[in-house]
Amino acid sequence: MSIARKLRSMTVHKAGIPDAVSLRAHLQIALELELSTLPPYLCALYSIPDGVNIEVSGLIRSVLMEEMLHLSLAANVLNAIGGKPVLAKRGVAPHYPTTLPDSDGTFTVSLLPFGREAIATFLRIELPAAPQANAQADGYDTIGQFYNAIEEALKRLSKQKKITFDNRPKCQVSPADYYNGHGSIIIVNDLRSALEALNEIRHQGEGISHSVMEDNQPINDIGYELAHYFRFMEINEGRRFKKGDTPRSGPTGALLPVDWNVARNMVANPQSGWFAPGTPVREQMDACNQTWLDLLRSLEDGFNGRKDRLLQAVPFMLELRRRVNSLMNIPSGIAGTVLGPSFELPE
Amino acid sequence: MEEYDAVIIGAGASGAIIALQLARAGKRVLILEAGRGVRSDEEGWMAAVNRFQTATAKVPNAAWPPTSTAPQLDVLQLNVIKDGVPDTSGYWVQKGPQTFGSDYARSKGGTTLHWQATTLRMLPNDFKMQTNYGVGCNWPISYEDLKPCYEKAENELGVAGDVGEQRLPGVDPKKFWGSYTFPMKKIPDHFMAKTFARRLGDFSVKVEGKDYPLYVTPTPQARNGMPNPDYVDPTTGAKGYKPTGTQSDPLRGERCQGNSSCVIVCPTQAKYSAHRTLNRATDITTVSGPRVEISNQSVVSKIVTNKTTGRVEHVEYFACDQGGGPSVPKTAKGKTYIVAAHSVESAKLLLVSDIANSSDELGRNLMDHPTMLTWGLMEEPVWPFRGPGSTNALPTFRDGPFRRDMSAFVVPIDNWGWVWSKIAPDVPFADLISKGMFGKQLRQHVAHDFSRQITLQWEFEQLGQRENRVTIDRQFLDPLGIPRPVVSYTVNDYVRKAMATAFDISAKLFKKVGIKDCTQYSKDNLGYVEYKGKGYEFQGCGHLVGTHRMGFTRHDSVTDSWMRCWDHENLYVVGCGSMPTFGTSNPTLTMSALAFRASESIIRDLNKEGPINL
Repeated sequence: MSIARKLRSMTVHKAGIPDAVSLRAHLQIALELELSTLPPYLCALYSIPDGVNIEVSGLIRSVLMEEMLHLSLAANVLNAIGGKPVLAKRGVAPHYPTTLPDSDGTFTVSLLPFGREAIATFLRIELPAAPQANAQADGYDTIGQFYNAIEEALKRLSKQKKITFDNRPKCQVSPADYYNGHGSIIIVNDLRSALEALNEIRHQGEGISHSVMEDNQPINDIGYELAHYFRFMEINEGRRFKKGDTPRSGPTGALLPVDWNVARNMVANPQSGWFAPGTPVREQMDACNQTWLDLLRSLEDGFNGRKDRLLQAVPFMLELRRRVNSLMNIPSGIAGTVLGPSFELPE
Repeated sequence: MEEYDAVIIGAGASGAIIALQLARAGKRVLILEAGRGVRSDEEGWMAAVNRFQTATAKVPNAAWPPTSTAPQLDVLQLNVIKDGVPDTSGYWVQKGPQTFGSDYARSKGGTTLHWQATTLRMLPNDFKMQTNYGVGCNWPISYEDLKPCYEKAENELGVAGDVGEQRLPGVDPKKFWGSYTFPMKKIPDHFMAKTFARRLGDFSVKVEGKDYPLYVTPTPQARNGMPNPDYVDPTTGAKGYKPTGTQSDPLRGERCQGNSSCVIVCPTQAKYSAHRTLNRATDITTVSGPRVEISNQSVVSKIVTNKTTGRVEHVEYFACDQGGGPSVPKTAKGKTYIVAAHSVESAKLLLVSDIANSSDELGRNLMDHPTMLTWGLMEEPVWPFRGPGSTNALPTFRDGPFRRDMSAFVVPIDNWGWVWSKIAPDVPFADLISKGMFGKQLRQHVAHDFSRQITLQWEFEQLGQRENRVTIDRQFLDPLGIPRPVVSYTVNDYVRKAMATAFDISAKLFKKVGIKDCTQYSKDNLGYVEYKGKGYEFQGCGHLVGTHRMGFTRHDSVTDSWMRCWDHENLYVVGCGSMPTFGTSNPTLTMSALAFRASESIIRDLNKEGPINL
């Protein structure tokens, strides 16, 4: 089930998330939401050959690494309130194409190579919430509403002593386990740190308010302080933001060289089912999916207290890059495109 | 012309650390770097990775070519010196009798562009060789004096290691470390070292009637690993450590990924280079602009002193055009001057300037770690070429009573198969082909042999010798008309005796561990020396030390223990050249500690001259 459908299918209570069980379910979805962004970003990044679009690659990579940070932050909050993060399961990690919610309902997220279409999708991923009425009774319409509900519940349930933040302390991902990129991992052990973790996710990424686009406040936190949406806007416009630019003015700083035609022409949403089991190409597709599963399993184990498994995620990540690179050298047989990873998990 | 608080010659680790410390103290600094302003952004760094990947010979300078106006020694330029005729074909004039086999990088970042990043502290006994063993000389400072600076250096370089696992001969861990932890947890031991340690088990060898147990210990490395939450910053007292990201992109603070190409270039930039410190220094700004300016391709040709006061008045340099246009003579002025241009280049510059040499010690005592290789094939695969380049060593012989008669030595177990000993994979591969092998048989041989390749590096302490020296000869000039280094070098019996001892130990060790010995030396090779009728070979280790050593009095040394020249009160000479001896430690860490020490004195001097307006 896509994130959009999961959010729509959740019961939204007028008085907010009612209890710890429901809050844990929400945080598990938050984890899945962060996870769902990784495959599309990875496809775009890895489709860019070495040595070209270097600045663009750096920007995509920076967003990607922050999504991994958000994934870990969501896991820390979930663990602190006594949940058990799940990752390596079909249905938890989506099958592409999938859908995400935005102000116009839902939109399709495909696995695509770097290009105009991919960046247009990324812009929608990172700016989903339109200013709207409260959540409808039949589910969340936007990611913004969803995170608002989590924030409100963390405060209220904590005050009512229905949740505590001292659960599973050994499962907290710490700065010793994780560093990279802007922003840092936060160990969650009280309400303050839980809200800090949630804000880190929302400040950089998907939780950003749609209203920001109507905002004429100058953007002073440029470079890596920019929210993901604006980093993708820089790529789209071929210019960096400079101090004093506003969301309305768009970026007016230094030129950002973008070669839109240089990426490897990966077919949209590759599927292993296109190839008969046992054929060499299918074997490569399956091997890549196996590595994706290995990676998710090591992360899941790591989030559940086995810190040694977090270390093993690093070689799996490198292995994944290698396998994706090999697939992108294989013609798909469709209109001059090459293959790519399908990010499918076994039933 | 602007007068800076300090003019630093050389943008390597020493110059970078001093610039950073001075900028933090509010001083204005100009760094004159002779070589290329190597780009540390993503594109520039990846270009270096590409140069390494496409180089035919993967030598240290493969990724770091010199400019025409700042030539550098390259190990590919070396020749055997025959019949006492100096070899003038390379940048250095080598007078022998032995060829000096180590090179360095003249570029922004200095030789930290191509170092292994092994960061062994010197042992307390290394500072007192004359007192303890009646050889070499003592340092004017002790290990305890330098210890706080070691901690600062380990912070700046970002050292990963495990204090509890350090087992060092003749060292009381409580005194040596105190309650210290490294900024990051150790880089995991590579598979080859682990296999070696397992197969070694308990094993001792007898040397001069005394039993020495051989054992494998992890070596601290200045490469990003996992931050240690228990670490305490020696300056701020803050707990924990945030690793510095790549120099090109603060968002890519990647850990060591085990690419095993460490020395030449680290693709993930997990390894420290002085660019990190230079970036920190140039990031410090005031309303009037940055406190540290770096001028690349600025080759200093002369340091000019006042003949009466001895004070340095200015330096003359050539501003060299990036595009190969004419080099323009210029001058720079500061209150203090720091020469930190690499041991041989610093000595050369001072000799060219005809200063700082009332002791007649300048340029003398050039040292390296002459390194003997022994190699073979392990009984089981040890998978070289994957995983971190170096994580472990055999430390047993780093200290002991034998140092009265022969060198101490350390034996890193590096992860490069026969790269150094036989130029693997190329040469062993060509050997197989020349035997007529092809197809499946060739593949099987490659798979079998290459996965079992192992080389041990026996790195010997060398003591200062007056005749091992850098001089100049005005008939040998570089393209700017600056005299080139003329080097005399010999490896004496103190080292050769240790080579013979180590060679015997190696044979026993190989037998115990299960390594088929393939070591072969030849009279025709560089570094061939004999001891008691038997031949050995040594290589340069890239550890160029000595040449402007610090000492007790103006008669025994070039500088005092703060690295201030005895002859010129506003001139400091800082770097590996400052060390009177260097035991068995790779010198960069100690050099960095010395740069922190020198900074304290330079700041004291500058503050005596009154407040500086920024």
